[in-house]
Amino acid sequence: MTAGVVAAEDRELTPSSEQDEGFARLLRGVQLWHLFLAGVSTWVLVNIAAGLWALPASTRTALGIVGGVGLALNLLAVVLIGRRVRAGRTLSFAISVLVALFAFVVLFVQLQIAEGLDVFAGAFQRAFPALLVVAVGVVWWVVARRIHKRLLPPGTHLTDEGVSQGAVRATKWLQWAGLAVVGIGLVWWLILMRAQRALLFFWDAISADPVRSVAALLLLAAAWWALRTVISDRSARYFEVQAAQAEALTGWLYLSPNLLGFLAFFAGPLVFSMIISFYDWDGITDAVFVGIDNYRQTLALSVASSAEALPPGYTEVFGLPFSDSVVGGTDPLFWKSIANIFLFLLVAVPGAVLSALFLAVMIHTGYRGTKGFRAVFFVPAVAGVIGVTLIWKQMFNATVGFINWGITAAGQLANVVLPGDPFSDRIEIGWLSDPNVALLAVCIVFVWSQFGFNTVLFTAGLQGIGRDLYEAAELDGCNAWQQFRNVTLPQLRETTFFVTVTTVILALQLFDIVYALNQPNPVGHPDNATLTPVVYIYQLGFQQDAFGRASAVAWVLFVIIFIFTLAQFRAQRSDVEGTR
Amino acid sequence: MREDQDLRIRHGVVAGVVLALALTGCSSTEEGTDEGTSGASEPAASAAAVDLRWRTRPDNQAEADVYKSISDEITAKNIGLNLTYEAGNSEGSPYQDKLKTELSAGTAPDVFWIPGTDVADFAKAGLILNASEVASAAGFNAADFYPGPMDQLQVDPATGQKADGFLWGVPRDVSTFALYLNLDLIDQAGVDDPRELAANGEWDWAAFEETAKAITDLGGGVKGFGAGGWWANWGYFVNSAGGSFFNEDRTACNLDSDESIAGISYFQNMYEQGYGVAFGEDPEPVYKSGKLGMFINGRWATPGTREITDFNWDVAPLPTGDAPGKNWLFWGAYVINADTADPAAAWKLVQELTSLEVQNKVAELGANIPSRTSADAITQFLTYTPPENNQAFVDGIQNDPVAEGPLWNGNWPAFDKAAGDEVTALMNGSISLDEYESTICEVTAPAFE
Repeated sequence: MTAGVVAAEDRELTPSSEQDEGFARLLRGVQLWHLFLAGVSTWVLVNIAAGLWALPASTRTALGIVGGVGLALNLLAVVLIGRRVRAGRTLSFAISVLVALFAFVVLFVQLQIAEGLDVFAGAFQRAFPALLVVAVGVVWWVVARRIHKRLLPPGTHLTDEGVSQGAVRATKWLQWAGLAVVGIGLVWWLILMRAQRALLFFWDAISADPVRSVAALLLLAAAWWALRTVISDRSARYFEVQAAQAEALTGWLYLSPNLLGFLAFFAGPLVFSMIISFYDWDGITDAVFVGIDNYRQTLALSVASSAEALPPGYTEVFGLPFSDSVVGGTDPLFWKSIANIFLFLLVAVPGAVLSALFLAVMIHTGYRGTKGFRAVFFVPAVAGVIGVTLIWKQMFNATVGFINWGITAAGQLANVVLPGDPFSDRIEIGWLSDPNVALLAVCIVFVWSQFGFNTVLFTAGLQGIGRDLYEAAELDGCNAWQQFRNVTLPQLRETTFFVTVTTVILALQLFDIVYALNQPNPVGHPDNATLTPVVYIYQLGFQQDAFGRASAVAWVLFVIIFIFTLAQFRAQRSDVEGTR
Repeated sequence: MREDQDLRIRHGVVAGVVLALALTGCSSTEEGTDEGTSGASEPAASAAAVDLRWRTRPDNQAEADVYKSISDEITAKNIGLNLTYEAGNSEGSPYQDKLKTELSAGTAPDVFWIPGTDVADFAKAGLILNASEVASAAGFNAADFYPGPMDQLQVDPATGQKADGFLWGVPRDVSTFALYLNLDLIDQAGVDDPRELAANGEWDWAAFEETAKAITDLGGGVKGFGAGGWWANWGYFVNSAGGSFFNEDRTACNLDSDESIAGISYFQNMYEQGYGVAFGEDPEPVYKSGKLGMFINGRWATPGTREITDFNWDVAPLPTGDAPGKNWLFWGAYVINADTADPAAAWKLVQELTSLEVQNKVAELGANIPSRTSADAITQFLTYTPPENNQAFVDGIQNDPVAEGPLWNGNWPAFDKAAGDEVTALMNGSISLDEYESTICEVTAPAFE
């Protein structure tokens, strides 16, 4: 195999000595880059060690770790690249990505891009007409280009026989005209958006701290150059990397924004919340380590013969059946939220799943008009939860809400046919104020908001069931119910499992509906009847500044959701194995 | 070759659009946003001006716009302040949640408004500046403002008592409760006008109950009165009966005193009789639909009520209990971020924002009452009609009111949550009045630990 010869999937990229020498010189630049980064890391470490920077202890520790790790890894990268070890290429890649990201963030802040985008969003409406002109120009250009391609297909020439030269030239001019419209639109847009001030804006931003701006720009450029160098084909050949491995590195490059975002905004806070759950922390002052006290305070239970006999600090949570004994807890509100959410699961999940299954089957049967309802059913899934919940809140109003008005009207109708007028003239169910029905109101809104999406999933599942199964069932004499029971349900097993698991997880994380329905009363109103674990976490964290306790409750909730999901997976697996 | 050219053109178009976005994204910062927020539209300031960000929680968009124009006008005065106004969300606790998060992250504005109940929490956490020194240097006179809020703004966090050398902010405005009346329903019920009864000194709890009953008896779902479920609503009746939330030095609960129990008992009875919109239901839509005779609410409800055209309305003072007056004096204050770079400039901004001129501009919109006690402020406020009977609000803030108070020796949110849960349980019948009396101070005790 010679250099540069590609063997489909698994080609070897063999080096040539000439290319090696040329690329080795480039790589010396990359090594210098890492030596520079090692130098910066050392500078950070020296400043930290000498106490030259007045920083909080946590920041100092974090910077010290970054400096130490940065120094070690960059020196390692220099050595590995020098020895032509493949890992050196990967390490250099990872370091350069992180440095590029860092430099990008610094530039983003320095140039006030976020503020600019905010303003951009505001000014967008004003400049929208110009954007329409741009859109017209783009469409014009695309259409002209297609006609041009049709008149002059690839492989043909203007001088070929049968090619209309005049038409081809005309379409070419039309393409340029389309681009001119795009250009005019863009210029108009820039004028409307007052783009002439952008340069001044950037200049002001850079002038505020020119050293930082230029340093960030140079750092970004250098990191980008190093990245391009180490992931290039020449680099792959030099390090004798297989094509698949070379492509994998490129894949990591594309994946890195999402991956780093995941680490920074999901995994990072997750780990942080785990750590902080062992601290007493108000979110502002220094955290105090309390061990497992937050978990103990959340979960501690005690059984006593009566509420009065409970140990100090314990409040009755519930009474044991068939005895006078009671169970007390140090955090009765947590247990109240757990009881609420389980009750909610019992009602809301079957409601959201079964109603969706019923609707999906109805749609799938193809009765006249049902297809048109598909979009209607999906509306709740795309509607903003808070806005929709506020509408529900109006409808739930005990005195002037539509729901009680409808119930009252139905009652009056029933009074016409039933003896003794059993329904009163005015039925005022306190949907949002009566602790006995408040959770039901939440269930109704949740089911309404979920069933549309679930219906789509079930509909997709139904479309995957072969028609032959139903035909076989018909031949066996099955009626519609038997077909549903013995064909549809078993075939929808995996869809049902997915729908149920996702609905359970969403239900366990219930927050927004409760929050919106309760406003302006405290969340959990009335009488904590709608207090859910996530609402409780919010109360603890953001209203009582007990972020340690809130984190502990969050992790307890995580364990509950994990157990639920695991149990459902196990049940599903044993179900599948049982049918085999 | 042609493909390459096409590709280049395509890249050119995309690059052009991206460049336009990048340029325009940062281009409008001088001309500004007609859209509402931020520093996009600051007028030119003098070169030596200090850049400051400030924030309030406006009650509506109109108020947000007025604050924005006030901000621009102060900048345009060339007094060394180059301001950026940020409108906080209009209602609900997330305003404070967001603020605390920003304070924690070091990105909060230099000057911001917070509700009176939160001042202690912010001060104790070291989030806001003790402006005593800069205020003294600028000749600030606390007597220009209502004493209730000022007392709470001059507390030493170490002792929880008012002391020299402490000033945590200046009240932006004040407010109080009044009874929003549906005059048509009152007329239909054939009862005396509460405004006249109040003028004659006859507007007491008995008259209130009688009026509520008469209106409820009209039937058809009409209710006599409505009140929100939050602390100030039931709290008024506690105060008006001679009780209080806290003991004298605000270090313990006083909700189980005989007077406090009498107040909450009366309030509970009104609901048990069926005269009120169910406790915890939002009475506002009921009032606006014309099915509610009397609605306890603050001055902030005025702008929304002004939109009503289906019935005649006005306001009356709250009915008097055993202890005359005792309406709430609601307030919020402009405070200074403890980490602001220039406290003197921030204080100058606070002074500008609490000038009578600025307060009148905001009060004219209807939602607020100036926090300055001067006769000019009151005279001007009375002209901001409807409602015709603005005097009901003035009486509320001048007749021995109870200033809503931060809990310097405790945790207000924890107290509010515990007491609110217990009162809700009482109103819903989950616990009896006796149980409430025996447990209310027990459940709120942790808030003082």
